[in-house]
Amino acid sequence: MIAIVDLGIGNLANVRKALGGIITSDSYEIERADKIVLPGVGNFGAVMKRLEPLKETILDAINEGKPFLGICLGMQLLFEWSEESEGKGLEVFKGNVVKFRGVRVPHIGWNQVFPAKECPLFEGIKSGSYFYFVHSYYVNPQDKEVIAAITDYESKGKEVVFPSAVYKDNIFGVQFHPEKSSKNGLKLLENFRRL
Amino acid sequence: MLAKRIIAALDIKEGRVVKGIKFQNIRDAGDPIELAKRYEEEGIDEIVFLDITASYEKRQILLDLVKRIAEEIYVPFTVGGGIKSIEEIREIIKSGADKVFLNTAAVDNPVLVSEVAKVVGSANLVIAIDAKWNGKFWEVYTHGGRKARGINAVEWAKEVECLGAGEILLTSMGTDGTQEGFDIPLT
Repeated sequence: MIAIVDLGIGNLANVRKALGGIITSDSYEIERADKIVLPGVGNFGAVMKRLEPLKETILDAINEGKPFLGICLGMQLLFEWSEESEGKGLEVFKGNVVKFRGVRVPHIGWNQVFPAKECPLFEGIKSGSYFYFVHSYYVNPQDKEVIAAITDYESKGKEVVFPSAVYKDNIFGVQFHPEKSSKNGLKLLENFRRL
Repeated sequence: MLAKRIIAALDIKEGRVVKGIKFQNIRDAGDPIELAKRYEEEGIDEIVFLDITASYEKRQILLDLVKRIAEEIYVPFTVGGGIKSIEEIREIIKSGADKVFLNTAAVDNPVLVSEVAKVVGSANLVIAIDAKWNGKFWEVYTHGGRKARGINAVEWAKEVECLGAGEILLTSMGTDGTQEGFDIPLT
């Protein structure tokens, strides 16, 4: 069963509809799940505070090798810290989260995702497919090997190429919103469900 | 590179889709979820739902609809129509809408735009502008196209951008629903 971690922000109904499983903030239920999804919108520090009571449970699950998918802020929280606010993230990956500079923020709309390595999440999805993004910060992994896909954001004559997905072993993160990305997004969620 | 977006707009009255021409002759056009799903199937990028019920007592019907849309639809969607307060906006976002839009309330009280932008973020705030050529300039209309406001739509668009609107939803009242294509001079 998949546990979709509910931090009381945003509506997760369609994520649940795509993946099955339960929406929960109960650490016992998360512990029992065989896969975990951490969606997230909002401020890095504020959301991390809400996540604090569940932090150990989530880290245990990741260490046990259970598939984990972080969406948007849920992906950023996998890193050590963010320019957005004080405090630490889950520190699963080395590196931080940085703000877009010189381009219009937020980066909002449909943009192309180009896989940078083999990743089961993108199976059956063409390179350069469009996904829906809303964010002002992006991850900056120390170990570039974890980057699973990149996206190119051009605005005001500037260009920022940023990691739009990360993947290592059982840990996945996507900066875009698969639950808002129509068919490609559903395919990606389906790929995660089938892992 | 960011894609140009194709956005479908659906007018909603008491939980049903209605269709009009130039803001008149409103008739029933079906179930919002079914229509939205069809648009999604055809590859639409976003959907805008405009509630023209405009009665506070019937707001619950809209909120229930927003919840159903959030559960069924896998593209971003925007909800608006008759919204006057930050409280209503919070409820709509909480029900699962990605963005909200303001129209009349923004013209009546421009400060609201910046207040809302602070609460929900510019990315989630759209300002809808209904405009009609009055012989001299594109004039802003409010109250579902019933009231001319004497404001220049281009100036107003610039102002709301400064106040924190993330996007502008522009409707040319003269060509709305006529299937004669976009009003290019206005844009």
